[in-house]
Amino acid sequence: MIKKLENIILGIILIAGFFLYLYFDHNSHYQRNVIYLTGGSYFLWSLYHHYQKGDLHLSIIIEYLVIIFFALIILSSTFL
Amino acid sequence: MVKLVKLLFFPHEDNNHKAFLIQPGYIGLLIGIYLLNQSFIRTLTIARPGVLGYSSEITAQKVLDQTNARRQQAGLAPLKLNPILSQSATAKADNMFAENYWSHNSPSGKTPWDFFKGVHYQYSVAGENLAKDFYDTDSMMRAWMNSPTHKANIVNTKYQEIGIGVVNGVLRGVKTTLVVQHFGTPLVRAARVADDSTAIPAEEIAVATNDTPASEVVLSEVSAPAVTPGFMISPLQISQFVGLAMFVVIIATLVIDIMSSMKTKNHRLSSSSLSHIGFLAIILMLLLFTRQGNILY
Repeated sequence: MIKKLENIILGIILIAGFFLYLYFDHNSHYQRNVIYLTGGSYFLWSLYHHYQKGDLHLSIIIEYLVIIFFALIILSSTFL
Repeated sequence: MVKLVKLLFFPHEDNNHKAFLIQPGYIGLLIGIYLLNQSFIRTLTIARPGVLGYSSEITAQKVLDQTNARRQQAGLAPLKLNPILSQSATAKADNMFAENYWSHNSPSGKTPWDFFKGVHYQYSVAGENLAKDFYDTDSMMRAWMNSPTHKANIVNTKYQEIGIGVVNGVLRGVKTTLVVQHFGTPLVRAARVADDSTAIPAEEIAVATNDTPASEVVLSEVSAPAVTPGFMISPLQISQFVGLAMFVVIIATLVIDIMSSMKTKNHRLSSSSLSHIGFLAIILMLLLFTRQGNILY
């Protein structure tokens, strides 16, 4: 049940980020904020997810941070 | 070599059961490569503006600020942004994309003054500056100020108002940004000023200025020198391609990772590849479906 709820929350975070980014087309300031917010939310979700799973370790946190940084830097430096 | 490629993409005991490409160190390396590529593009477009044909940093507000800064340096009053003139400047840029030309006069015979008239802007004196293929506002303003005719428009004492159009599009098969400055002084205001100072009836001024001689109207255009005529690649396309390629490679490696762990049923301390795929897929879609936008003022 908790796992299902986690997946739904993740879906909401990602889909909301996607549509908010498109909604603020032509306003790079808001788009940048949406990207940071989506990345931040994904990071928080990952902390909760691994805490529930019982394997919240520094190496995992670093993996998430690097993936998020990778995605956000490419998107923001390409378009904004 | 084959082994290295295998270790890059597939989990193996030699890479601690996790493909190198999805390990933090290697992703960091990809970030470094991407940033290096971005720096190279930026340097190239500033040093050789004609080589790559897309401007992503120019906004109307920056153009206005820098134009007025140049005027203030010359001891002149700043120009007032007139939304109507911005409409005519934007219409001019749109028309250049629509009719696919780079000139003050369109192939169908439209002159710059047709765009002023199109928005019902009655002027006593007017001018037009054009620019394309510049990456940033600083480079474009420098080029304008180095050109006597453009500089004459920017620091012209006769102008009181300005409109700016910054429009992205495809011109002659190349993605680019066109920047149009429309300068003007409204007819009524000019007539009133002249009336006050010289006691000449406004009607006479109006008649004289309605037939503004060509020499009083300044036209200027500048484009970054095209080193290679014909096909040009835009910096945005290069960045987008490199970014997309990296995303696809990482997502493919994550898919391989999931399939491999399902097959071997190995339990390891690792982040969730499936959630990474979801996150990266959303960002990938944004990379695919969005394009650079400019706010028009």
